[in-house]
Amino acid sequence: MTVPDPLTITELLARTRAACPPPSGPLAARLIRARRRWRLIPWWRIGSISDAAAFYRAAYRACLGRNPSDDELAELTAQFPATKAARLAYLRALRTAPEAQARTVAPGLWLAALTTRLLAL
Amino acid sequence: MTLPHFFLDIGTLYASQPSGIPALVRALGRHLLREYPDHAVCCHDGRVLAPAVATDLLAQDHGAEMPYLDVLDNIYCGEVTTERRRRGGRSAAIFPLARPGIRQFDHETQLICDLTPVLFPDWHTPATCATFARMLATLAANNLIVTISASARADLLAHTQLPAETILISHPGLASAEGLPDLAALTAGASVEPFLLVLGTIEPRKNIDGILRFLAAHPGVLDQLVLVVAGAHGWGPTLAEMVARYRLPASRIVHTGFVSEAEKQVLLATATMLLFPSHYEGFGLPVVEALAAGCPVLASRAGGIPEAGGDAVTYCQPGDDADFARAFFSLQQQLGSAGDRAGRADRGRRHAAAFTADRFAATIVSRITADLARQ
Repeated sequence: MTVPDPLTITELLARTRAACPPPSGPLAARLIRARRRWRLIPWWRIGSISDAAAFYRAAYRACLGRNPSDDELAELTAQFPATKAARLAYLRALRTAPEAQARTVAPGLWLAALTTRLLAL
Repeated sequence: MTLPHFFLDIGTLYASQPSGIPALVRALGRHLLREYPDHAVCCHDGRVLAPAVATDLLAQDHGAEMPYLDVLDNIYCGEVTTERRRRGGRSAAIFPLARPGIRQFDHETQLICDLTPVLFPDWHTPATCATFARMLATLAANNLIVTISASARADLLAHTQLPAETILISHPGLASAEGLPDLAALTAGASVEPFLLVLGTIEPRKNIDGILRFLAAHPGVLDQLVLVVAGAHGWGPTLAEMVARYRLPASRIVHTGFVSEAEKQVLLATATMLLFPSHYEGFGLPVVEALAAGCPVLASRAGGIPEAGGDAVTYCQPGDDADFARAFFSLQQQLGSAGDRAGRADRGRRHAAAFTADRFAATIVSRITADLARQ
């Protein structure tokens, strides 16, 4: 009788993930979709986030519906505000920019709620 | 004794990769909703969560996968202020993170796990230290401070002016293990390559650097055992940077990143031992989790860890490389005997059984209710 080779940790974890997949259901599915789509940042981390590129990508996705270009990102990250208040002020200003005002809100009401709430912080 | 209406802030459960504090919030939330469904309100940032959303969040061990959850207004069903008035009677709030500036409940409780941002600011980001300092400044506004070990309570008394009687110790514990994978079915009879497990966020306080120093000084260990680090990168040097610094064989070190509850349980059930040489912990729940899974534990005698591990753990002095090596080889030798290993696992399980999530929550609820009865 041959003894099977020991499982590697990678194999063990892959089997576990297959047996116990992440949660599903209406709320979980919607949240996962939303997170992937909008690359959002938790508000309580706005002041402590150190990744300027992640911050600006999230801000652009939430307010303008697009990612910043590489040139924009380079310019923005050079002046990344240090405080939570300054970052929130930046988000408010971004929402009132002409590009944001001209944007058609297509995905539905929840997006409107999202941007409204973002600006109310 | 009249039961108050409990308002629990569960905002920490919005995190996509929940760790220590969210686990405590989940324990409290599940307990309140199960035991006092008509007196439990889950809320965040002054708004009441729709009951279905709160139940869904509390049921998940994986994280909400939606860090910006609170911008979706349709998950809320009202304002906390309005809800409190509508319900009438006495009200009690529990804040796991920062409390609001204004008091609005008959009884208010703040959860403080440890004082590491004060005691060891070098191990935290400046932003964390600043946030924590603001939280400490408002502690006196609470009726009750809940902390998770006698060690953390002693730190609070030493670094604040809080009256001793307002600080309650409630040891965290484990939830039931329902829904976890069947290990025998997963492995289908195969063994798992022997490995040392490190569980926790990668940050300086966890002293992963010390483990790697030990492995660099004793290269034979990695010939026998793989090192598995299960946890997301927090701050400070990355695992890859530390491994490169000590010129360790990367092929013998696995970084899984954040692991789900199921993955964590499988790792604990199959690890040769858990290494937990943290410089400081408020309590050290991974120690209890490992003991409950029958996994031997080598931990540092720091902060609240001895309260979590009791006499079921092999200890070393925090930050003492020679003592860590002594403890490691001593434990490895003990585990060489099947009888010793089984006896040790049984002792660990018995010790861990004393720590349950329900007991953690019930201790807090009982104290709040008693406080209100005295008011």
